[in-house]
Amino acid sequence: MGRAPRKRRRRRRAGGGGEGPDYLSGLPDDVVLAIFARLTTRQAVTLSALSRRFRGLLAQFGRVDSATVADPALPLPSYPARPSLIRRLAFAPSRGGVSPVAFRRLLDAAAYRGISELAIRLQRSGFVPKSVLSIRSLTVISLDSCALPRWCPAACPHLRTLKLYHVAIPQRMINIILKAAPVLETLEMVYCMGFAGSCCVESSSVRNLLFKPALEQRGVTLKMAGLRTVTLYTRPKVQTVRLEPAPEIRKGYLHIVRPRVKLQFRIRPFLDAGTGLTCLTLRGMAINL
Amino acid sequence: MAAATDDAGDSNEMIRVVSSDGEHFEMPEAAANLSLVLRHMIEDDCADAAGIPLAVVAAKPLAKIVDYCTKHAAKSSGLTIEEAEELKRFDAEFIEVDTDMLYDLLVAADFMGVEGLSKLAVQRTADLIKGKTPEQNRETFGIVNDFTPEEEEEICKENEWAFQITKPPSRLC
Repeated sequence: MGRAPRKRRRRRRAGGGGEGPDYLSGLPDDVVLAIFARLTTRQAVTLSALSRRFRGLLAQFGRVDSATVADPALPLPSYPARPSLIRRLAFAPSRGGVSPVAFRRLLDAAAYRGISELAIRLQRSGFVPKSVLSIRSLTVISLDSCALPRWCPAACPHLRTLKLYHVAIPQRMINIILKAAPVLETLEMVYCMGFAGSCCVESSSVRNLLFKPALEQRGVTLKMAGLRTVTLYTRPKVQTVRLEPAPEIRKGYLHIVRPRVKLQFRIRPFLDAGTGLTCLTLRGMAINL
Repeated sequence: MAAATDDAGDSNEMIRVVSSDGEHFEMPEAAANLSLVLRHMIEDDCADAAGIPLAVVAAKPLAKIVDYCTKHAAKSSGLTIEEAEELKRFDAEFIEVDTDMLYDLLVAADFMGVEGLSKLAVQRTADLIKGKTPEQNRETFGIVNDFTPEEEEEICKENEWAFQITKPPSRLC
């Protein structure tokens, strides 16, 4: 075994100044990827912080662009013999009841794959798991016919787009989400319910807003100082509309329906503040300026 | 693996292999067939009395590989449940090696194309990595950190989701 020391020296990485041999860097890419494939993708990604050699491997990870899942019990698609990231997951169960455990597992699995877009469409407004708002890698969330829990932790530092269609969401959750998403740009709330009659949406980062109230909604308060475009509809039962001035507003589409009872809506402060307004559409009943 | 053993009429012939440092080893042809490289050599009639030279594989890992192949070739056809269990136990014991040997086995198994052993060694390495921080892994495998602090910060930022784990409080689960 007199030759063993020479072999060790050869194995050490060129340029590395460390002591002793390196037992991982010298392996062929395929073998390292096969090893990483047996870890969670999340951990495989953290291993890119080992050294330059492993950072380069990140480019060879499998990338599943989009996965549509109907049955949460099935595993997510992945590449053989290499860790796989997932960009977009659409979950739309074909039958009504989804087991909460399986649903939670599905979201956890997606979170471990670095998912950045999540679309959930349930039937009959089922509850989504509490972990849905704490997947840190998400940039787009769209929920359709879901119900959010009364309270759940939220941490979405990269969230840019949030679409809520037919979602039951308590007022408290609106506040929690908007506070937890500092770079949220686009917010769509269409036919949402769950707040008692009226809701208040407050965020300084949102630039594009689409808001359509549900049938039973009485009041809307929108405090968004950074708005660029706003599309707002009301329905006959809406009694109060408060639209806080947004100095940077460019484009507005306001569809104010004739109310059943007297409507409280003063549009003047909003229009006065919007000096850069280039396009304004007013529809529905005539508005007294 | 079963297919590898039953194609030869003269399967009890011994195949000689030579390690990179010149040591000779012998194994039955059925065992050599488990290695893709050796099988191709045998099919091409390159296996002569002088032995097949394996330039990349040193004597120590080769001894282990010969051991592995011989065991698996003998047990590969028509396994009973007990035999499968025994083979599993053998595998588990076989792969209880230090990182030095594990590295040699990974390289050798990859080079020789021994699929079962490759899988075994890959799994073992993954088990060693699992659940450790990058710093701990650097220590285990002797990897030198060649990033500047700024680069390291950049990597953490790029893949922030992977480095920061936010677990909801347990009472919510």
